[in-house]
Amino acid sequence: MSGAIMRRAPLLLALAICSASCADRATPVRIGVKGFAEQTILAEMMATLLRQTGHAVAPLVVCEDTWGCHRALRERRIDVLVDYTGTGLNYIAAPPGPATIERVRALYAPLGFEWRVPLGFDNGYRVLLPDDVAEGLSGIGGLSARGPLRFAVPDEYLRRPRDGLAALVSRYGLQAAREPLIIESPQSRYEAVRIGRADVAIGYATDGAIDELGFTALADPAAFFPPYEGVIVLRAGAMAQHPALGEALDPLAGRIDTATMRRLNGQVQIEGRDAASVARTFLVEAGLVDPDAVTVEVGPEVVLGRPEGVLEQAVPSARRALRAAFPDRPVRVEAHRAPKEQLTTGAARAAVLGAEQLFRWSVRRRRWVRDDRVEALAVLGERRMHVVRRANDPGEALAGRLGIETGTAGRAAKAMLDALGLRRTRRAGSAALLTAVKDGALDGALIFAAPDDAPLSGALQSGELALRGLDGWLTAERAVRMPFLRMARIPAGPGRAGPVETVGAQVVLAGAAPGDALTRGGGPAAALPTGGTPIDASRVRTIVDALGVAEAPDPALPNAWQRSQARSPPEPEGWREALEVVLNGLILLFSGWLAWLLLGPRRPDAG
Amino acid sequence: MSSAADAERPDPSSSHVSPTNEPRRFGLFHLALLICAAVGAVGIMAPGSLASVSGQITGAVFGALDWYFTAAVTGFLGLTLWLAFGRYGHLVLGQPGDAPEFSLTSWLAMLFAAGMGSGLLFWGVAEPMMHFSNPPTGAGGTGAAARQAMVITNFHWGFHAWGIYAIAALVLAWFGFRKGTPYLPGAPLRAVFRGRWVEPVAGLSDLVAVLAVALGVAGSMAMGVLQFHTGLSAVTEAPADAFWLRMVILGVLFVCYTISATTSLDKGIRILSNVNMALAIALLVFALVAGPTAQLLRGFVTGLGDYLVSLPQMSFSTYPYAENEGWFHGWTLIYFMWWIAWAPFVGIFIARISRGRTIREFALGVIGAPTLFSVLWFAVFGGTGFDEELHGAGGISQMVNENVTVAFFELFDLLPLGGLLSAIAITLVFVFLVTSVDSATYVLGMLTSRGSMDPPVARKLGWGVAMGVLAAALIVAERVDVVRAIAILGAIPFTLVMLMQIVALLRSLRDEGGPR
Repeated sequence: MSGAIMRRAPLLLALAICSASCADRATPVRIGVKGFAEQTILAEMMATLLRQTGHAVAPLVVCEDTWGCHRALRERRIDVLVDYTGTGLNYIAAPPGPATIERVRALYAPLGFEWRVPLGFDNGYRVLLPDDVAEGLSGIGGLSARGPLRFAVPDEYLRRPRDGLAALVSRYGLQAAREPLIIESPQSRYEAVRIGRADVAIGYATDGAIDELGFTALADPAAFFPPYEGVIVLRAGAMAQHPALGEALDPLAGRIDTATMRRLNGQVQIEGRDAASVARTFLVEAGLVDPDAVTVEVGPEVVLGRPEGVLEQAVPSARRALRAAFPDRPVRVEAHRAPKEQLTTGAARAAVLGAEQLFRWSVRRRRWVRDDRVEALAVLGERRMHVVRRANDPGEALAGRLGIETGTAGRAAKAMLDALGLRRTRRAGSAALLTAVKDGALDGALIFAAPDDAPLSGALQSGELALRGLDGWLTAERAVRMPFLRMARIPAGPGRAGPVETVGAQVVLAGAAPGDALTRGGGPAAALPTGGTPIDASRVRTIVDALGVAEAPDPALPNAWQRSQARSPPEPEGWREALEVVLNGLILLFSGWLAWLLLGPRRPDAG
Repeated sequence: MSSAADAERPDPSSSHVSPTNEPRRFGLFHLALLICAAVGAVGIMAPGSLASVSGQITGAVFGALDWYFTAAVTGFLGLTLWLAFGRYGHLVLGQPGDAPEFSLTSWLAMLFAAGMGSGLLFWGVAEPMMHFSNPPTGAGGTGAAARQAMVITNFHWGFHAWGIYAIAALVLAWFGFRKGTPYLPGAPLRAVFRGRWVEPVAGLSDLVAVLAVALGVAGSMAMGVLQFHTGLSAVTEAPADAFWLRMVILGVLFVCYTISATTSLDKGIRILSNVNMALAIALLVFALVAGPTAQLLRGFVTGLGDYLVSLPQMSFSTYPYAENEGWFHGWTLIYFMWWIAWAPFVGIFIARISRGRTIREFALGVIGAPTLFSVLWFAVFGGTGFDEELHGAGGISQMVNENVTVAFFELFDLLPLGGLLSAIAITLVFVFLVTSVDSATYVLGMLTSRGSMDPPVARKLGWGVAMGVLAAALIVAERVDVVRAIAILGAIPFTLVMLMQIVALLRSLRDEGGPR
């Protein structure tokens, strides 16, 4: 040990001498954001690009408004932010003139602000009308024919000298009603127009709600509104500290047009998605980030378990979601005979599992019970039971010689047959089962597959085989015994005349569940986990966001969405209550006895 | 888990406790050893079921009696304060007229030392960060969460922990120094009460104390070895998951404490532990100076104030209407139980150094000094972590949530001379381990030889071997949870023992006389 320290001694010395100036890790890049969605999305994009180029990035610094952000930049509390050319001109004493990026750049250079290349969108003020009203209007000028217009505006817009309401009205020769409606929230302004309290709303070009609410921005032929192009602004001093800062962020230049920005804003504002995952998705789609590249490694790799040979379709999206949840760590997929074991032993952090894997057979209760060692994090898809028989076979769906799949794939089918008291004749891969049915070696095959499983559809195409329905099979009693199953329907297609009634089960991304009563709360006793480490709530949210699947895990499954709720107690409630009464009674008796010992008569020989 | 890391080895010659002339009780030593062996064997062969059974028992007891344990622990603190300011405050722990054995300064220093242990190294960064990123209420990662995290951490490591130790120590000191009984948890009961129930209950109390110490220390040994190993691979290129390396570490540890327990290297151990204390304080000062000093001190003052303000409410909170029960059981109650499990061990150390103090001095010193130290410790190390999360590149809380043992070393990476600091920290962990296991063998030897201040070497050696084997078993089975669960299991009855001791103490004090 001491040898290693000696070897590192020169390094330690160097570190000590220039700890403040040259330790890159100690001086992360700080990104400032004004308090709205677009700023956060762009900041997350910058953060990802910076991390990719080896920069450390501090948590986003919220600096409220333009004043605050500019001050923070001057006072070196932040290093970079996205600002708008029009805003830039408004916040500096500049003679009137066009809001071109060159001018802004020249005006701000003395302050130590470096404006880079515009990102490609223009988030200026716009005159907005509902689509149907806007139709046929030739730009803002077309409004001059309308009577006195009631404008819905933010307070600030009334007071802007150059591009405010008064200037707009006079430039386009509009008639404004005497009292404009002052509403701060953009969405409420659109709502005011929609319900007829106002005629026209003033909004922002990249507002995500414009498309959603069916509004149109009127054209501005007279170029009345100055451009508000989004531009990355760097602090010159930060450039000295991180020389590669500019190059790291420049790939964004010109890549985000107004429509794209509006769409991304909408995903956050309207759909409520996480800004970081929206930003990341965009960067991946735009080819600016390699989805698999890990740049700053924090911690060991994350292993994603998957069953051998099945559920392959679900793996790519599961992997993507894990990458989003562990952005700084590599994710490796590892096939395993029983991925659930990978979770419980801690060999894998997450695994792709069929819902039936989250249960175990309880011999005592004669039904499938939740396996509380694992929990579902998010839904990846669904599998449905395909009962395949020969097309000309008149027999019942589940009768005769039946085959099920091998390994974990056949687990649900086996459970179903067990429930009926039937035995399978053969276990094989799905292709072999289908051939066997075709050849007459089997009467039917039970194949649990995704609704769009290609080999299965291919086999059904020929017309020799047909899907059989399981109408009414999932009775209430069976649903209790096999809680992972739910009713499902296979849409019409080859091998069946119409939709086929059957049962299905979710495919989920699962993780290790929080431990027993002592460790579930995450206390000190949980410090050295002996099994797998559960995925924390914020990461679960990121995974769900990244998957973009709105469906929640079936409430019957042990799942991370119900962590706060108490899990099913190990013994019936009555016992627990009785125990509680007994224990409390005993402790009260004990306390009474103590009180008697304390206050009672003194024994003559005590002392 | 604070441990009386460097329990001052009481000098056998200073013992005034003559060998008791009670009838020799049959085989506490053998019985306790047997139970430990059984726990070890079951723990290796069926770790899952042992952990789950003890977990279920603890869960059931917590579920039904969490209010009682909360009230009891808060009661210990209240009783300590009442003794300090009440009518018995002037009584001396010793024969009337005894002068304090140690000067006030060195007594306070030793109390600080008792508070300092590998637990603080383990949790100094990790606990504040864990509450910070996952607070029981409100959103994580904010300034408000940081303040709340400090309050919670101080609550867990502050007055309540030391209230428990104070009571355990006070009972031993009062009866030991004043009444001349042996240093056994059952001794006060034997001294005050009469009846057929006394002897079995007192014997059981001794057994529970022995088991709590033995299993608690073995568990800490296993955890300490794991932490030492993590640190070693953080500083050097030692393989991070080499099982053999853990066994080597344990082997070295075993040799070290066995040598010190069986030979008269008392003085060496004492010097070693003083050096360790000095190193820990140096680490604290360095982190304070090298980090954002003013910010950390602001955090210290604010944290202390927040803690004092929240103390009355938190002391009585059992969350009857909130859904926080799981959090409360998992954190607060488990901490309380750990402190109780350690109480027989730390209590003996504190009692030993407090001869001749008045009850008032004793109570105020024991709950005040170590608490102040740990508040400062958490303010500096937790505060550095907060600063990194709130104003720096972050990432520490993520690492902590993945693996608690690396927390300290991650933090040192951010400070200048990080490698050296990590090296110091792992040295500290190791020496704390040696000194606390060494003290534990002594305490166990003492408890199992009828409270003799000079237990036979064979007995100490026996305990040393037993704990080494138990820790090895835990590392082999990678089931630290078994011992943790058992230690808590031992603390539950020991709480009742402490309550009986308190009754004995109060009766004895009343007999001794009220106001002068």
